[in-house]
Formats: sequence, structure tokens, C-alpha cells
Amino acid sequence: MGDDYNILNSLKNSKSDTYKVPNAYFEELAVSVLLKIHSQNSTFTTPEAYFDSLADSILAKINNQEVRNDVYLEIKEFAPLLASLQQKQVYKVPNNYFNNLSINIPVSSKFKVVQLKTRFTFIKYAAAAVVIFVIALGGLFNYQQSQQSLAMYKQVKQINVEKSINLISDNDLNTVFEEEQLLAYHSTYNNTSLPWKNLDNLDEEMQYVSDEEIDAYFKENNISIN
Amino acid sequence: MIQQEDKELLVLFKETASKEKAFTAIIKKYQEKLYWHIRRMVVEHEDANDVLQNMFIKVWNGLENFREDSQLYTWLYRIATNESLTFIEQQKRKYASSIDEEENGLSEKIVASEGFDVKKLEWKLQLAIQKLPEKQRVVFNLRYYDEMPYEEMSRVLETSEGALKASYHHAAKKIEDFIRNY
Repeated sequence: MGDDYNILNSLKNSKSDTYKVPNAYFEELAVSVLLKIHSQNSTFTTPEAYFDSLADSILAKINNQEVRNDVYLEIKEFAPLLASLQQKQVYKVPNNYFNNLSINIPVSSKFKVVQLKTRFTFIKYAAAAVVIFVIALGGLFNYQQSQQSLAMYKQVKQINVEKSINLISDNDLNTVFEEEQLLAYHSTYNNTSLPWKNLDNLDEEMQYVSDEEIDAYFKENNISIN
Repeated sequence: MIQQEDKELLVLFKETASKEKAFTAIIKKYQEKLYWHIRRMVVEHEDANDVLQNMFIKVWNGLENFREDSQLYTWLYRIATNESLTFIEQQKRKYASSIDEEENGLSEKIVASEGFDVKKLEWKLQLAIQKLPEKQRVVFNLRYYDEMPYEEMSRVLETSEGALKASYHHAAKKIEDFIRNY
């Protein structure tokens, strides 16, 4: 037991002697660690909110991979030859095309030209005015028509028909009725010519028609003479 | 360099001081994807560049009124698609007398492309794609090359997912048949 104690003591002493620390190491340790932290921060930076969107971007990549697999499996099913083809790009693009690509936005697109807007507004209002004018013109025409009809109706309403008929002589009335009857007769037999022009020749024409022919005509048309 | 989020870029675009910077960042972020999408449609680099330029000018003019209920990416793809189809339509009308009605003249452009080799499958694939009707071609390119999910395609092309799946299926079959029999 006494020997063990002596060995331990001597080991303790020897440990402190074996590992040496630079002078003032512990006094300067905190400063050196802080310096390292600062120097690390100034060398490596991450974009703002990088870690916030990291999970999303990794998931998006995984999803893309899944879609890619879906596309492959889908086409393999119904077009195996196409599935076996690599989606190789055969068309060539000029060197540095994408690096040098610049879009020439026309100046008129970059800045709003007030005149254009004013003109557009003017055209819009002019078109609206034309439409309104046409509608108004149509309305006015209809109104005039209806006013004329109304006036005529009022005039007709004011006429005393009975009194007016009394003013016409009996002879005149008979002539009118006879003409009306003849018109009705000729329209029934499809005579397109005006009746009063052929009446003069009627008796003359009848001279050449025999009684038998007249009787046959009456029978055909079921006309009784009595 | 970590790319800026679209929302952040849109906010910056609405401020006069940072408008051009934000727009440049949007171009840098999407230029390659959009260029290739257009290039596959119009074939020649010069045409693709013209369409891309016009497309970004339209983006500049419309971005201020862009409604954030759809994604910027989706909106850009829609403009690029429409501009490409308009360009092809214009070309068709321009050369209506010299181009066969069935053809759109793009196959000739492929054959005239640098490095064209009719024996290589990848060139046959390009020829086959150009034989497709325009809208089917867009669907095929978006799915096959851009690996766009149907949900997103549906927003770009304003077509139902079912119709897009059917269209892609038909397009892929037609292409495969063409390559096998060419």
C-alpha cells in the first residue's frame, strides 16, 4: 500500500512536467478563440435566409427526381424505344450565347408615353360616341315613325265615316262596288290583266262560243243558271 | 450563387430602382429552359433568339400586372409557347405557296442543321417530333424534355390533365412508329 501511494505521487509530479503549455497560454486563450470566430465569419458567408430555404430547396430537388422517374417509367410503358434514348440535345448554340444574352427592351416599353395613353383614351371615347350617335339616330327615327303613326291615327279617329259616306252619290258608290266585284271575279280566275280594260271585248268574244260549250263549262264547274 | 425566389424578384420588379436588376435576374434564371423550349419548336437558333427576345419584351410589359395567383415559371412558359406557335403560324403564312400544307417547313430546317445525321436516332427523333401537330408537339416537348408534371402543364396550356396524358401518349406512340419505320 505504501509503495502504491509513492508511485501515484511521483506520477502526479511527472504528469505536470511532461505536458508543457506555452507561456501565458491560458491568459490569451479567450482572445485567440474570439479572433478565430471573427476571422471565420468574415471569410465564409451564407446568403440571407439560406438556412430558412435550404430544406425547401432539397425537397424540391427530391421532387424533381421523383418526377424524372415518373416521366421515365411512363414512357417506358408505351414507348420503350423513346425511353431508351438519352434526352440528348442535338441543336447547337453559339458560344457564350447565354452569358451574353441581353434583351433589348424598346424605349417605348421602358417609359410610359403619356400621349399614347391619351390617344387611346380619345379613340375609346370617339368609338363610344359613334355607337351612342348611331343608337340615338335609330331611336330618333323610330320616335318620328311612331309620332307619324300616332298623328295619322288621330286624323282617322276624327273622321266621321257615316257622314262622309252620305256625301258620296249613289252612282259613285255603285261604280265602286261593281269594280270591286269585277276585281274579285277576275282574281278568282287568275286573270292578271286589269278587268275594265277587257270588258269592252267580252260580248264580242262570247259571240264565238257555242251554247253546248257554255253548258259543258257550267256542268264542269257545277254552276246552276237558276 | 443562390437564385432569388420568384416572389422576391416580383417585389423588386415593382420598384423603379430595382426594376431592371430584377428583370435581369429573371432572365438569367429562366433563359436556358425557355430558350430550349422555344428552340425545339422553331428549330433554328436565329428564330429561337427572335422569339425569346419578343417573349421577354412581352414579359417586361406584362410583369407589372402579373397576378401572383399563378407561378411566374408557369406564366413564362405559357408566353414562350404562345410566341413560338404564333411565330410558326406566321412562317406558314409567309411561305404558304412554297410549303406543302402537310409540312411546316421545319423538317427541312432540321435536315439543314449543323451535325445532322439521318442515321442517328436522336436526329430521327427530331424529325419525328416535327411531324406532330403543333399542340401535340408542345405537350410532348414539355413532358419528354422539360419533365414537367401534368398538373403544371395543365396550367401552362390551360388543358385538362387527362387530355394532356392522352395527347402525350399518342405523340410518343407516333414518334416511336416513325423512328422504327424511317
